[in-house]
Amino acid sequence: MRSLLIAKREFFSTFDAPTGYVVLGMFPALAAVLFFLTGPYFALDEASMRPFFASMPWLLVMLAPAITMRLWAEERRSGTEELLLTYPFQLRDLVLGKFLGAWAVLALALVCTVGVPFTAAMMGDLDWGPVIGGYLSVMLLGGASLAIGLFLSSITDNQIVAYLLGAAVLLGFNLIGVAATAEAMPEGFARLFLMLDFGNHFHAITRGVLDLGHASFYLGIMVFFLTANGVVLERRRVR
Amino acid sequence: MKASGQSFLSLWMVLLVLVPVVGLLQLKPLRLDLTEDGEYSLAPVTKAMLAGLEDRLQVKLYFNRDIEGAEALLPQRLLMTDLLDEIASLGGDFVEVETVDPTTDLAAMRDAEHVGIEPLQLTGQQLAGVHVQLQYQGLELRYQDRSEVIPFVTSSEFEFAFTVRLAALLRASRPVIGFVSDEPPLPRPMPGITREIPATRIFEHFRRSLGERYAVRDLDLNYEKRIPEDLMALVVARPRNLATQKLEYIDRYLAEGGRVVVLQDFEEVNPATLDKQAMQTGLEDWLASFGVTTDPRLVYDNQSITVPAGVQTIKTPSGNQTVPLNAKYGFGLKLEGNSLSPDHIVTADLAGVLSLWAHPIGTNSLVSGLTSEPLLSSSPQSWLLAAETSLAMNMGNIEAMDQAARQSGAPRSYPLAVAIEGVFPPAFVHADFEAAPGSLVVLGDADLFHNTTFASGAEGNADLAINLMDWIVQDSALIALRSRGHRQRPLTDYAEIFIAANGGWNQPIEKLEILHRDSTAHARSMHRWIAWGNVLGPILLVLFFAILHFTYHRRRAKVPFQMSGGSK
Repeated sequence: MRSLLIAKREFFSTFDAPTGYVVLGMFPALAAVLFFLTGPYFALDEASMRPFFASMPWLLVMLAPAITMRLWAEERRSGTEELLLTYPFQLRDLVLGKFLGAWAVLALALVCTVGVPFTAAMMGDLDWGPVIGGYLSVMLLGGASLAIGLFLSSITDNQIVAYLLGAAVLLGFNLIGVAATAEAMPEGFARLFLMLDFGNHFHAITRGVLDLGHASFYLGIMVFFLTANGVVLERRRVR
Repeated sequence: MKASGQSFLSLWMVLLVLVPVVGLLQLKPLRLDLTEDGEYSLAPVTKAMLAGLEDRLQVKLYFNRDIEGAEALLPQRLLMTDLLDEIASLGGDFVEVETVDPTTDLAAMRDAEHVGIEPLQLTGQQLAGVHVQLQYQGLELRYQDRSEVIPFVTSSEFEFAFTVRLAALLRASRPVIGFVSDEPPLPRPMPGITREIPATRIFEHFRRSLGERYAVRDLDLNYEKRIPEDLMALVVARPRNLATQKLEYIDRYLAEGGRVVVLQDFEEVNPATLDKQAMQTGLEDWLASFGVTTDPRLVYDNQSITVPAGVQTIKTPSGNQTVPLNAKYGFGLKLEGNSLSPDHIVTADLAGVLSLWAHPIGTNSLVSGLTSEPLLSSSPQSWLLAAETSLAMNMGNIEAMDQAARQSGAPRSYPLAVAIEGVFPPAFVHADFEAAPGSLVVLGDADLFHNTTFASGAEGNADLAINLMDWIVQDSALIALRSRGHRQRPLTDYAEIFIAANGGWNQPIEKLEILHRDSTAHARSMHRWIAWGNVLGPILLVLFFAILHFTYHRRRAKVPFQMSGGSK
């Protein structure tokens, strides 16, 4: 319950500054540009949202760190982190609250893109199964990306560093599967890399199959990085 | 320090719990397929076959792991391994799946060579020059003493290809399809010499297509005095003046419950020169005895292919330029949409079929006891032209054909292929004869399955051929499986809407050219509106809320602070 209070505060504070609105406006606009203008939607002549969701992992590489970069780094830079850690909240509530607030911002950004599937449905016989799967998988992938971004924001007091670190790590998670296909890669590592590849799990759900195996991967990433975030804060509180 | 150590310990604990849980959930698939057609779940026919396994089924995947330069194959492969996991899970102890890489494993390479799995050669450009990369994507199935191979499997066809091979493995032998035509026989195979296919063997691609699932046997009815009983179906492919004796054999086969596909035609066209030679198959009267009428006139359709019909010179700032002149060739029918019967399993999910020089088929006076269903028909913008009409693809002839068609009367749709079922009354007197319900499919265009049509990449024609045969041998479950996930979901054609709103296609050719240009411009403009609407819409919406938010906060900031409940 306390984490929900923190989440609410974080969610609304995102829009106290114009940057929150910039992120909220740019994300759906960029997604639509990649889908309708530079993507093959009209050329393919098919009512399908696949190209739309295919661009999402790359958009999230830019968006997720933008949402999370200030969450801890800014608190630390402005000195409010110490104050926050003295509040009668458990660390778990703090971390979860910030994470849920960021996740809600991402959900709102996704809500701003719903015009795209409705347009696609008006132009042809759209199969809504992959669309639902697509949005669910963006939420899961987004959740994992935000958890990583949040953790990286907690280890630095510079927002720019937090953003760059987040983008680099997420890029790595999105490209690791390609490395797995290299001949020189030993079989065991290749399997591990494929399992860690964000895109692999993402595309499995966007095709319209809700698979507990793939969903659990993202949930596992979220749990791990949120715990790591808690550990970092715990160490700082002890000092 | 102690607390810090504890927190690290908790992180390790989380990791220790998470890894096995996530790993376990990856191994045991719990999934919900949200797609309309259940595209990513095994079909009931596949599940039934797996449930019926009595012995161990070995599945060997020949996949090379290094797909550098062909990364597009990765999602395909993941999907296939995903389906194979489901197959292994359903088959339990009876299914064993193994993956080998022939590019790194010499034994696997030899095995691949031995069973006939060949790599796809991809040519790529690198700094050091052009390089060729081998991509293996084959599948071998072994069951008891039999084996089936898919040399290169793609994800879209995976389940169908797998199930068809599995069905073949579970049967002791492949179903046999008889083939009656006037084509020359294949030369006998000679060791070390490549067998030349005679150019006049015009249905060879059709045979090969059927050969993936069936054993195709050429019948010489001069020697075989009746249609063999082990046939599952018979194809009568555009014979020339079929002898009465042979027709009697076919008649008896059909009347006794046989399944016959007839490729009817009235001319033989040289695809290179478009010279035609009028001909009779000798089946016309026999078909008429069931009430099936054939017509030597040719169907001319507005929904047709575009062909290069000559050249034209246009003036450009840099001088005169010669550019190709394309025109619609009304004898090249593009059968799509409602031209493919949506109510029949053979055609319901086909994307499109190409038909060249087609003839209408009539079933209005069908004898009692028979029912017919249309499979293919021309568009409502079709006419019939005399059998003598030139087939040339030059602009002069195309314009003359178009004029003749429009002057011949009101356009209408003509059936081009029909499926008839019921008890066929024999057209001849047969001794010891037992009537039984049979099936007959009549196609008014033999060129549908001509080598040239198949070679031109008309995939719909190959699918039609196999669907037809699957239906006639009553393997409808496999047709449904093949067409699963192949449903076309085309976008609204704004150009077509524009044309329909401006008088349609039934206009002089000069006006049509202008209409075509304007409709293309209209479609482009619609696409631009849709794209920019989706790009700018969210930005404007967010901007609106941002202005509202900041205006509200600014106003609130200007209101002087007042203690609630305080005295004035």
